[in-house]
Amino acid sequence: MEYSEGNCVKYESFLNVSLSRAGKDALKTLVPLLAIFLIGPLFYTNQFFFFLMGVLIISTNALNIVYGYTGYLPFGFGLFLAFGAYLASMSINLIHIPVALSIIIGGLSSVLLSLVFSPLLRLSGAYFAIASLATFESLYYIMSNLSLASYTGGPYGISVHAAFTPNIDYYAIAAVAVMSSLIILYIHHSNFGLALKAMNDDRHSVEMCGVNSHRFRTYAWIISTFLVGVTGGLYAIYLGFFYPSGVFDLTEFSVLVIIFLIFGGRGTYLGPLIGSVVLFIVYQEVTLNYPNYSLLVFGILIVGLILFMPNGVVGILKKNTKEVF
Amino acid sequence: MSLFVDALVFSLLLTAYFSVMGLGLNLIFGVMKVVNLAQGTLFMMGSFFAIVLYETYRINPALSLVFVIPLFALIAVPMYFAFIPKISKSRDPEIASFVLFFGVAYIIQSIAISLFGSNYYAIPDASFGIPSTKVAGYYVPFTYFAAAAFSIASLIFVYLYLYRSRTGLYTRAVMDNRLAAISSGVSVRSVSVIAFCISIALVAASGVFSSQVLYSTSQDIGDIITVTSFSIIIIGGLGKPLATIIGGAVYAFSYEYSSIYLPNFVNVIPFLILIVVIVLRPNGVFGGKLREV
Repeated sequence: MEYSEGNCVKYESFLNVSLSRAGKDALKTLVPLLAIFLIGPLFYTNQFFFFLMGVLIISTNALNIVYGYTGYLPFGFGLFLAFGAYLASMSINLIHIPVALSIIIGGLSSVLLSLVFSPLLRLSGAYFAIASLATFESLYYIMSNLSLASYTGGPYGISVHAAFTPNIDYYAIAAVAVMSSLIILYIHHSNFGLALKAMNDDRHSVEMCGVNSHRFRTYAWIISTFLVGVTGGLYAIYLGFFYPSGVFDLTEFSVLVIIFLIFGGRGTYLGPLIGSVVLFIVYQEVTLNYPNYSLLVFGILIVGLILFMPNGVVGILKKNTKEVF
Repeated sequence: MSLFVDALVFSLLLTAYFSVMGLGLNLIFGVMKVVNLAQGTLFMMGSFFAIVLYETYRINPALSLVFVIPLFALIAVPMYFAFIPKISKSRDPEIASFVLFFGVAYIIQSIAISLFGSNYYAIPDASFGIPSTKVAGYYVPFTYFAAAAFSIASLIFVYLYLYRSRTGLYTRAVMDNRLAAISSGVSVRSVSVIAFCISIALVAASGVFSSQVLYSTSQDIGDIITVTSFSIIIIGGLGKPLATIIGGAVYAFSYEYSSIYLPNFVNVIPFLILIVVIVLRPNGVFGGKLREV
């Protein structure tokens, strides 16, 4: 695959002319990101639009760490966002801790939950995908369960209106989005990312070189779920009140994120950004103007992407013009 | 105590039914290494088909199998040639098919919404014209016996196909070692097409009974049916068709007993069992060697 020559060369050059190369890539991702979050609201005053876009950019970046670099696809990825949202809200409501701390707790609890999956990172990807889907469903039933309503709010939803600070939250999500892009850049340019990609192609050869593949995958998985957990906490506080079905939304926070990533190009640092910004606008257009056709449009989009464009936009650009990205 | 016996009767009757739900999925996975996430929506379409036949022509659900099985076996052929050859060539067929068939599921679901709306439908228990039977002090509707009979017949059919026919021998060869099978002259394509048709037909046919045996049918039951089928085949063992029966039994018993003793968590218990099994014994309860990457 592509890693074999291209990335090895890149890795060499990273060691020698490291900063110029990484700095160029950083400019390519950070300038558009900052433009979206700082200048965007001046032209289109719907703050929630940009907030949700930020949530999806972070989720796509986080999924890229797992799916793009290690090749494992957690199909119910949204469960970590939902779990972070719930744990952050519950820690505010039940033990009355500061908001900033509760968001960190949301992230850490997602990491704890993700460690249950870590043994599966030794096995074939189908187990991982199915287990995350099943965990998604069971966690939804647990959180919306009537008999736990005094803790989770059950089917009546959970309220954190006391912590409602939309403007601070907006800039926090922008900061996390920038941070997630920086993490992707780091992974892309580091030994760590190279090892992840290589073990996706041939695990045994990489292990022969002395790399502990299971441990590396677990690190990637922890980084990814922490980002999503934190995002979940921020999302919950921005909403102020939500029903279980509002965060446990398989379409919005799992499937959509997978489509964004594949459309942009997995395993690239610019792909998730392109995919999530372009398709998020399409998604908003379709669901607002043609809600009856949203399933059909996205169904056809998924099938078309997998059959005809498995490497995404960035993959196509790379093939035609060398050295664009 | 009689509740206990009652749950036992229902779990036994549903064991074969749940096995057949997962069987098709497992057959496809075993032969093609493809994960069919559209499973649940095809199940839903089979169910809707039987409901339409009953509502318009008053056709007995058992009789509607005669229409459902050939129809869906035929639908499977273009589905196979549209997706599987291309997917099998991709770098990671398991994950690519996972995403692809989710897209197919979306398309099927949107067709179901445009045809049937978002209402819930069910065929009444009286549709067979045979009264309920009293077992251990409780009335068991005849539909449960019909579903069990259909399921046992399907299991026997798949057993005979796999172990008593020549094509079945080829199928098992492809499951065991694809390359060795190709080099011995087995036509992987014809084996795969037949397995795909059997699988889709079985799924749709088991959907015929779902509105009476499980819960009412609507356009959104696909997801939960898919996850249920996956739980069943993983508990049994991925890629081993007849081990599905073990998964079906574990699922049926945990579902029935938790609906009596832990009614609030009836939807959670089977999935928790799945997660425990997948973490501790990823190759199924009685699985042997691990499938590595």
